[in-house]
Amino acid sequence: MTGRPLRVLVVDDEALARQVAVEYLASCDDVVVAGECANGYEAIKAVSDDMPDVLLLDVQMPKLSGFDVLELVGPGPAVIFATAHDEFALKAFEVHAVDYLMKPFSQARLCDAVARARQRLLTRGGAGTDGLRTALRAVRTERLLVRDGGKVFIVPVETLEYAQAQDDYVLLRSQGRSLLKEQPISSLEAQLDPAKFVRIHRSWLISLAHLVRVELEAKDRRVAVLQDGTRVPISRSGHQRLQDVLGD
Amino acid sequence: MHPLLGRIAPLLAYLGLWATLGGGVALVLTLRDGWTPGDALLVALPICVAYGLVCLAAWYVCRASPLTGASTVGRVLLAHGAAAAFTSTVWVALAQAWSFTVARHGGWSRDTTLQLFIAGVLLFLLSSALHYVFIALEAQEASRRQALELAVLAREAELRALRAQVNPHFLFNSLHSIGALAGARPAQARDMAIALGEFLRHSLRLGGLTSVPLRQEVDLMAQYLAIEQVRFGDRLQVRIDVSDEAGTCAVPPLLLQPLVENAIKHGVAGMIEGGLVSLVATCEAGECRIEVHNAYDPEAQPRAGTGTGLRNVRDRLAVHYGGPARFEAASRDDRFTVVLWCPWQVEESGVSNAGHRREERA
Repeated sequence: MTGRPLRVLVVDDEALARQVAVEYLASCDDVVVAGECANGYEAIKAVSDDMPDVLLLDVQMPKLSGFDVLELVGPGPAVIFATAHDEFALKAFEVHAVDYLMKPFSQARLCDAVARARQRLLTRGGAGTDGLRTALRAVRTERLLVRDGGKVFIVPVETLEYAQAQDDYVLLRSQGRSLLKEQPISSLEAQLDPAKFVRIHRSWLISLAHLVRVELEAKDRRVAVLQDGTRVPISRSGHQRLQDVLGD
Repeated sequence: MHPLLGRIAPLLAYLGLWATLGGGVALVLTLRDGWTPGDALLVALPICVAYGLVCLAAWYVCRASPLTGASTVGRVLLAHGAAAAFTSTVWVALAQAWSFTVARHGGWSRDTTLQLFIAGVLLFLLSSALHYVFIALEAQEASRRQALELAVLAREAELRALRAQVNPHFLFNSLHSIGALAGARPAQARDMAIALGEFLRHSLRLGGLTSVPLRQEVDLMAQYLAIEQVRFGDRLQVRIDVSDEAGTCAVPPLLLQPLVENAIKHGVAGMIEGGLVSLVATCEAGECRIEVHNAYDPEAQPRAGTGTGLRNVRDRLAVHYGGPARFEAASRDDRFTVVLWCPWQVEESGVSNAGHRREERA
């Protein structure tokens, strides 16, 4: 990290807020602005094209919030949040943000935050950074975010038909489309409403809204038939869970 | 005065009960003591009805020795017992005098006299008990009414407080914009500082009034939107279309503030390309129709605070106008619309009317 200036990507949906950040950063020591993004999509694209060292992130932005961007980007860059709202500070702390700037903030405050980010990047050494995603995924969600390179897909949970574990990834099936997301299926399960989604197998999770019937294929071997005709195996404990939720 | 006196119908019903009792006494006098039915009725009816009136006096005894507070059980029993014995004695004496006067039945047997006395005591005590029940019910009703009044007052205070508030995040963001402009475009920074100051002063002034002409309310919203336009740039488009008649309509001040704030927070701010916020008002058939429309993204996650602004506006309409005002919020496709209907009362004086302050409550 030494020897070259810190590259900071400025992400804010307000042009004036980006402008002042760029202006402030110009006079911080050893910092260059890696780019400006007006929304989360642009930020994801910019990160996948050319990974910056630091993200200066607004929280409330259209479509993808600052926290959404962080979940999609993963633990690579150090993150500094900038917002007029104080209610996200605790969450920012939980996802290991380097700093949390309250608008309006001063140039000294921003340079201070960037210096802290530099320190963090030097000492981090790549260990234990996945706590960030775990923290972001600890809460129930209404939509799932999937990143494919510089592109982002938003999957509302009610359109999720089933999910299948594939090594470190999980395949999400929604509206005739399959998306691959880097996430353990158990973590996905924790994000979904247990009254609507059931893990019927070690590698399979289905939406009850898309379940048509359960067939007995052989003794002790059942399959769930979904609306699109997909047949999903049901394990013994999975069958128990299914019965618990369906209440019979 | 006793609450039954002065209320004709309940009083007649009460005395009717006593007259029935008098009929019963007359029956006993006829069947057991061999009086003629005419004499028995002539004696029993008046003395019973009269005693009914006397028993109302138990109310004063109840009030003098309330069951709550300092009086002990013994003292309460003593008070009522003494009152009952005294009243019954006087009543029996008067009844005998009356009986002698109208029916020439002077010599009552000792049994009859004693029975009448005991009946008198028991009836008076029964009356005392019923009065206690009545007083307790009335106290309960009074405290319920008081609680209700307090709730209404608290609600009003809450509404006043809500109205007086400009969302602090609006201020923080505006100040951040001013700071941003100060570097490269100082003249614009100055303009925005002035616009922000004028908006705040204007809203404080309107907030102190009971009602204002819609025109002033709309002007205030135009100031607000102009400030937000500096922040959002091209993403926020504004259209304001208020007819001259509608401009005169009296509305509670800062009624539109939460609606316009929502239109930006839940609408335009959630859209990458932004969109239109429009404010339209017309009057016809004695009614004003005020509409706030905004573009919004139906797929966006609802931001915190959805619903409180709308509920606040609905409550304020109800408090200000009562029945005739209506409120409707609906989303269709990518457009969210709130429509308010309120009676078209012309507000003549507006801001200059300093005597029309909110603090003046009847």
